[in-house]
Amino acid sequence: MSLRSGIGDFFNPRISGNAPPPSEKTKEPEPEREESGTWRETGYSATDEEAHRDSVYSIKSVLHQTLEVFMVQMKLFSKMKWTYILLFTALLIPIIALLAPDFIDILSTFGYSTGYSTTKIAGLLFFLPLMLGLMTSIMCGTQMPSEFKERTAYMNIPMPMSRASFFFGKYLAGFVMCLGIFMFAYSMAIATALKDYDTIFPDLITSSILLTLVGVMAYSATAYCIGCFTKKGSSIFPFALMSFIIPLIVVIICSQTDNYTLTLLPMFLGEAALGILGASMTGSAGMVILGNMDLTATWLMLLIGIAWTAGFLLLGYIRIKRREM
Amino acid sequence: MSGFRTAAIAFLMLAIVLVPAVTDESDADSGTARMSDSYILSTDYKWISGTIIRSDCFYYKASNTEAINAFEKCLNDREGTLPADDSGNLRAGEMVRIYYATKNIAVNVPITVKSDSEITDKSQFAGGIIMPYPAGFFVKAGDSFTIRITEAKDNYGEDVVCYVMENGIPYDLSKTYSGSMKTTGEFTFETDPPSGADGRFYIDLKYESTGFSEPSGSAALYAAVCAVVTIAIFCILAYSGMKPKWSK
Repeated sequence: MSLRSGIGDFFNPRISGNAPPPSEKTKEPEPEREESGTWRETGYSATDEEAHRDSVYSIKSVLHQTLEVFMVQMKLFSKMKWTYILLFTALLIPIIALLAPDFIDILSTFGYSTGYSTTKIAGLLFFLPLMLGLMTSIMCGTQMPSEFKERTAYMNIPMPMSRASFFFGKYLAGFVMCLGIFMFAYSMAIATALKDYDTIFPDLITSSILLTLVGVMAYSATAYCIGCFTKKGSSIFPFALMSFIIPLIVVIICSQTDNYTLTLLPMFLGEAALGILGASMTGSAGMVILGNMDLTATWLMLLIGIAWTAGFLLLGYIRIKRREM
Repeated sequence: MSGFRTAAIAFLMLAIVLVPAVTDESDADSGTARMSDSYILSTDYKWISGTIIRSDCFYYKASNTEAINAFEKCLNDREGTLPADDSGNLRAGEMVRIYYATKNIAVNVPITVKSDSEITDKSQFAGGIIMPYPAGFFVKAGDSFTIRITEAKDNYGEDVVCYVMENGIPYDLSKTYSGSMKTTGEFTFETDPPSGADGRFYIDLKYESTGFSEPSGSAALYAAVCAVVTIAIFCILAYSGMKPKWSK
C-alpha cells in the first residue's frame, strides 16, 4: 500500500476499505446464473459488479465517526444564540477601545504599563480568565445532558458508532468553538493595539496563545466531564468551580503557606496568559496572586493543563461508556 | 475531504502559527545607548484655571526640542484654547518616552467674589508637580538582566543619582546591578527627588545593559494569524450548518 493511499484510507475510508478484497484463489466457482438467482422467471440478469455482490459493507472508521459527530455538534452550535453573543463580546474589544479610550486608560491606574504593545494587549484582554470559565461552561457544560434530555442520544448511540466517537466528537466541537471565540478575541486585541504599536514580542504572544489554548482545553474538559455526571447539566456550576471556588481555595492555601506551587493548576492558565504579556492584574479571582506566580514554568503549566484535560476526558468517557441506555 | 487535503491544511495552519514565533529577534543584547535621544512627554497634570481643567498635555514626539516646545505650549495655555488633543498632529515619530520630567509650576487662579456692596479678589496660587513616567525596561519572565548607568545628567548638565530600592536599601546603579524576573514586567528605578521650581525637566541617561527586550515581531502578522484561525473555525461552523446530511 502506498503512503498516499494509506493516508487517504485513514481520513476517508471507502465502503469496503476495512475488509480485504476477496482472493482469487479462494473464490468459489460461480454457479450458473439461471440457477443461483431468483430472477429466472423475470428474465433479469446482472453482473456481480452491477448487483454489488462482491461489495463488503462495513462501518466507517472511528475517525470518520468522530468527525461526523463533530459536524453535527457544530451544526447545533451554529443554531445557538450564545455562539453569537460570545462573539459579540469579543467584538466589544475594539468597539470599547475606539469609542471609550478612557476606559482602557483607566487600566493604567491598576498598574498596567501602557508603554508596551504586549501590556496593552493584556489590558484589552483584561477579562480573559473570567471569560475562559464562562464561555467553556456555556458551550460544553450542557452538551451531554441535553443529548439525554432531548432523547437524541438514544437515537445516536444505538447507531453503528462507537461511544468514544460520540463522546470525543462532541467535546472536540465544544473545544474548537471556544478556541475560535478566543482567537477572535486575540485578533481583535492585537488589531486594536496596532493603532499605537507596530511591533510586538512574538514569543510572548505565542506563549500567551498557547496558555489560552490549553486553558480552553482544560476548562472545557472539566465542564464537559461535569455535564456527563449530571442529569440536567449546568452552565453555572463549572464556571463557579473553575473561576471562583477552586481559585479562592488555592489563594487561601497559598497565602497561608507562602507557597505558590498550586498556581500551576489549570485554573490559573488565564492569569498566566495575561501575566506573560506583562499584565499586573486581571479581571478574575486569581488576580490577587498574579504577582506571586512563577511564569518561568509555563511549560509545566501547559503539561499539567494537558494532563488535567486527559484525566477529565477519561473520567467523562468512562461514565458515558458505562451508562446504561 | 481527501486525506491529503486535510494534511495540507493542517500543515499550513501549523506553519502560519509557528513561523512568526521562530522569527523572534526581540531579545536585547548588551550595548550602550543614550536614552534621551527620543522622548515621550506625558503627564497626568491637570491644569486648573477657573473652571478650565486641562488633562490633555500628552505629546509624543521623536524630536526632543519640538516635544518640549509643544509641552510648554500646553502648560502655558492657561485659557485652555488649545485643542483638547493635539497629539495627533505631533505624533510624527515613533512612540517614545521621556525618562524623567519634573517641574513645579504655580499659577495664579483668578477668583472673584462679588457681593452687593463690593467685589473681592480671592485669587489664589495653585501649584503642582508634573509627574513623569519612571524610567523602565521591559523584561520577559525568566530573563536575567544587568544594568549600569554610566552617566545621568539633567537638562542643566547636573549629575543625577539613579538607584533601585532593594529590601528598603537603595542600590546605586552606577555599579552593575543584576536581577531576574519571575513574571514579565518592567524594571524601574528611581532618581533623587525633584530639585524644585523650574528644576529638572529631563534626564539624559547612558547605560550598559543586558537582558532587556525590545519588541521586533510584526503585530499585523499576529493579528492576521489569529484572524485566519478564527475564520477557518467559523468556516467549519458555516459548512456544518449548510450540509443537510448532518441535520438533526
